[in-house]
Amino acid sequence: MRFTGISAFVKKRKRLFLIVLGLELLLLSSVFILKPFKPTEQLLTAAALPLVKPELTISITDDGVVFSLTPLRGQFDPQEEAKLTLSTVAGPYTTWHKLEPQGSSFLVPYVRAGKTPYSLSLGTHSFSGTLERLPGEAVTPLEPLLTARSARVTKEDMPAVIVQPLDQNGNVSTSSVRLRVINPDKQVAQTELSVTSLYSWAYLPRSRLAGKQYIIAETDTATGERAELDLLPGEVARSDFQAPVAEAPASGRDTWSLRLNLPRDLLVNRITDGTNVLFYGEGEGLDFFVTRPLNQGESNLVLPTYPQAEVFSLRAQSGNYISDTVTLVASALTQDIPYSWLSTQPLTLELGPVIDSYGAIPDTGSEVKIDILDDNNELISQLINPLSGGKALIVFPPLPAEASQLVFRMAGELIHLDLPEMQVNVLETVP
Amino acid sequence: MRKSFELEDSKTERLVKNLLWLAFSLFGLAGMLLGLLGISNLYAYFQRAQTVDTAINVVSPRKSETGRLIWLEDKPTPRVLEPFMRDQITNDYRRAYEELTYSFLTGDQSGLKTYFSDAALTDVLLASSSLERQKFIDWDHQLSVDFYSPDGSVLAFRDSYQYAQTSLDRSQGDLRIARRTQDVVLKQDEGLWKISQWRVHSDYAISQPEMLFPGLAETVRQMRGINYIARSSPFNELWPKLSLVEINADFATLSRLGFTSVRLFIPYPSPEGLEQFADVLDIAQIYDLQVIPTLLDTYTCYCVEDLPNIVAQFSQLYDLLEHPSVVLIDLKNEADRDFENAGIQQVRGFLSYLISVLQRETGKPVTVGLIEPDPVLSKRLDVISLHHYLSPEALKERLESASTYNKPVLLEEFGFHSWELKLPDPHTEREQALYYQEVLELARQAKAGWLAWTLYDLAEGDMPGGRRVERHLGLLKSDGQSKEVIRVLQGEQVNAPGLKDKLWKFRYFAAAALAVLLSLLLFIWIFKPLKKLKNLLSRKTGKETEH
Repeated sequence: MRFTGISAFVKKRKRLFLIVLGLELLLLSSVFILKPFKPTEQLLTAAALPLVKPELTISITDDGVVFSLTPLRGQFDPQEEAKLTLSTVAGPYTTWHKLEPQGSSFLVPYVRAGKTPYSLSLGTHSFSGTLERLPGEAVTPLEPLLTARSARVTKEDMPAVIVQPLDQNGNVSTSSVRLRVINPDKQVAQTELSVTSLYSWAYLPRSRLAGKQYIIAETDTATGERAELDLLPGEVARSDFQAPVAEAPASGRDTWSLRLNLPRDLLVNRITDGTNVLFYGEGEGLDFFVTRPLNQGESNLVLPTYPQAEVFSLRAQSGNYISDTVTLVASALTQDIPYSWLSTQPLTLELGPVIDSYGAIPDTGSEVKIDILDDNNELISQLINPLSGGKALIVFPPLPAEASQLVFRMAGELIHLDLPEMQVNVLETVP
Repeated sequence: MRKSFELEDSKTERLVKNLLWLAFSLFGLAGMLLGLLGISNLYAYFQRAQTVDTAINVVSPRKSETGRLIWLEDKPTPRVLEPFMRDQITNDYRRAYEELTYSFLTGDQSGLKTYFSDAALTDVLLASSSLERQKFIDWDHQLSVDFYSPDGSVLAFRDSYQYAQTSLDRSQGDLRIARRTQDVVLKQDEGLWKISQWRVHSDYAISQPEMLFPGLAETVRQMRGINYIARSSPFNELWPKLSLVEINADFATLSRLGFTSVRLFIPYPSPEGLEQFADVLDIAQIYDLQVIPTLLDTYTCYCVEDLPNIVAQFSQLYDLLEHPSVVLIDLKNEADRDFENAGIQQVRGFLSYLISVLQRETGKPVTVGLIEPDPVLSKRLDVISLHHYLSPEALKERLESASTYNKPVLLEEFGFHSWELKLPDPHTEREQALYYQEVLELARQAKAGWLAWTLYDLAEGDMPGGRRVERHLGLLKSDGQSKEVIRVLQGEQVNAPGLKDKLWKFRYFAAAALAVLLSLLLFIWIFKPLKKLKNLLSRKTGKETEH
């Protein structure tokens, strides 16, 4: 029924239907028919303007660049905008500006010194050229940049100072920079730096004296903060190295004393406290090294004696400096070691009373070492007996047949006894 | 009473109804506004995404550009710049400019602080705040160290580089390509070298070198050449499938036929096989053929970000372009076809720069193939080149127009097909020969050299735009047999085709039309008895129904 209704509707309004269809076809065909007649795009050509080329005035101010456009005849179209492009050092900077009918000025806040090409277009008129802004006078503060915070007075190369005097817009000024350098001895050195390639620089002058060096930069119009350089003494070049206690009994309880005093660099500056001093010894039993800092201009070392009579050599070193040699002596402790053989079965020996170099008996418990050797001085066995009240009773165990001699060691003393003859010889005593 | 209640009820109902309508309307309005807002936000989001995408596409390929930064000899400095530090500075300085390019395209300034400080940062923030999005492309940086501080924290150098800047809207026509020389101070900060200070010493648009080419006019006037398309590997297939044997044979043929010049096409980017260009030039030299290489073939973008790579491609070709066989360099084929899509000012600025580059670097005259001489480009060209496929009468006017520039004129392309099946304009070989006769006479009168399109008919390969007519523009058939036009080239006169000839070329169409007509008649002849049969059957069926 529904379709019948529609067909009936169409049939009834056949004419209307045909008209609509016709119009639609006409419209569609017009798209194809009219398209070829579409005018080809023409290049923009200059329209007749009511004004001749306007006058452009450019002025460079502290805040930027002011462009002023004035119509020489007629008026500016208020709908039209001037397009300005500055080819800045950082790339193109484009702005648009509406103009008053009688002319306008606009400020572009570009303040970088150097050359800047510009192009300005207004309608069919265009302007182009290159601006050049010169840097202004330097402004306070100048900021001298030191390439190091400290330097040694003995080094060849001193740090440099770099100064970039800036104008109020951050441009590097061409003003020459006066540099005053005050050395620790209050001597003043002056120099003038010229600015090239956006910086000025100089090596700082040398000083013989360690201390603070002050650097002051200034121009005619600006001054800067005082920069400081710590002038440190050089490495140790000379010193007084000695042993206040160079000889001590070889007890292991007594001590030697060493002192590195009055260290100085090449320029006789005192060496800074905290500088490390290496004490080192060489030789059997004393192959060691110890590091001590300088404190109040000296470095001390106290070390216990070697428990055997011996002579040692020691040196001190700091950096490349090596001191003279100091000799340390560990002297024999005992003055006299009386003894007597009490029996041969078992073999029994009595030592003492032992008297040391101070005229006292050694502490109870001090050890006596007995080496039992064969004919070839090869060690067969070893006994250790303590002293008690300066005496010791030594009962030997049964000795092997090859045992031929005994060596007693006590406080740096050596006593050699031959077993068969029961003779006693003091082999050697090291002073 | 009841009635008044009913009245009140109806009033209330109407009020409620109106209120509901109002609420619905407001709700609908709010919904529409929100929808619009959402759509605009979505649009802005996609626009932004597209801009960032464009920027990345511009910046990313630049990382691999060759020769973008070189170090010249250092001046004496307090400290020698260590090789590893030089590499780091190169890296950071390049990245700074990449960031700048990105910022100009997108307006995103967030990355600038990473590479710029002090006054330089102020400058880049100002410049990248332009309301107009721009392309800013730099290349050919030449750095010369002035000062490297003893502690290695400050570096000052002079940088001379080229740049191109243009609005994204090409219709603005504000392309600027220039060389800038600037002092730069870099400072090390947080492990990066940042541009701290800079100052421009000079900034000038690349100018055309003053060059004179004595004898060029005579050389061009005597050019009798061919636009070379290889039979086995036509058009884009030339270099990838280059056969030196074929080239040798074809150049020998050209020489035998008395041609003096040959025009070759070099696409951008460089195709595979271009390294054999040197061999091709040597073969041309053997046959004493002048070569006119046409660069930038198939390139139509004129995008400033391509300039560094285009110049890099040119620099790889400089040695070859200085080959004695090369007498003229054609920068671009039919550049005026790109005016509409790429923007006329963009094309002019782009090509003007490249003309200067080629002239300066090769010392050879440069031309650009144009359909109509362009007043701006023509001033920069050494030779005015025309391409013409219209009637000889139209050529006369164009040659006269070209001669007003007082420069040698070269009819760089012209041709006439000899395809007799081309509808609605079939040509015979006689007509082709006649066309050549007329065109060559006009060229002679205008003292213009000429290069015909092309040597052979092309039986193989793809044609540009699928145009089959391109297969039939040769002077020789694809099997190497001569067409009638060769007689013209050998100085013989060809008579204009008579009426018989003009009618004879339509013989295939006449035969086809006859075949169609016969088919129609046959159809009618078959269809008529069928109709009768149908009527007979319908009548018979009607009678049976009545019964």
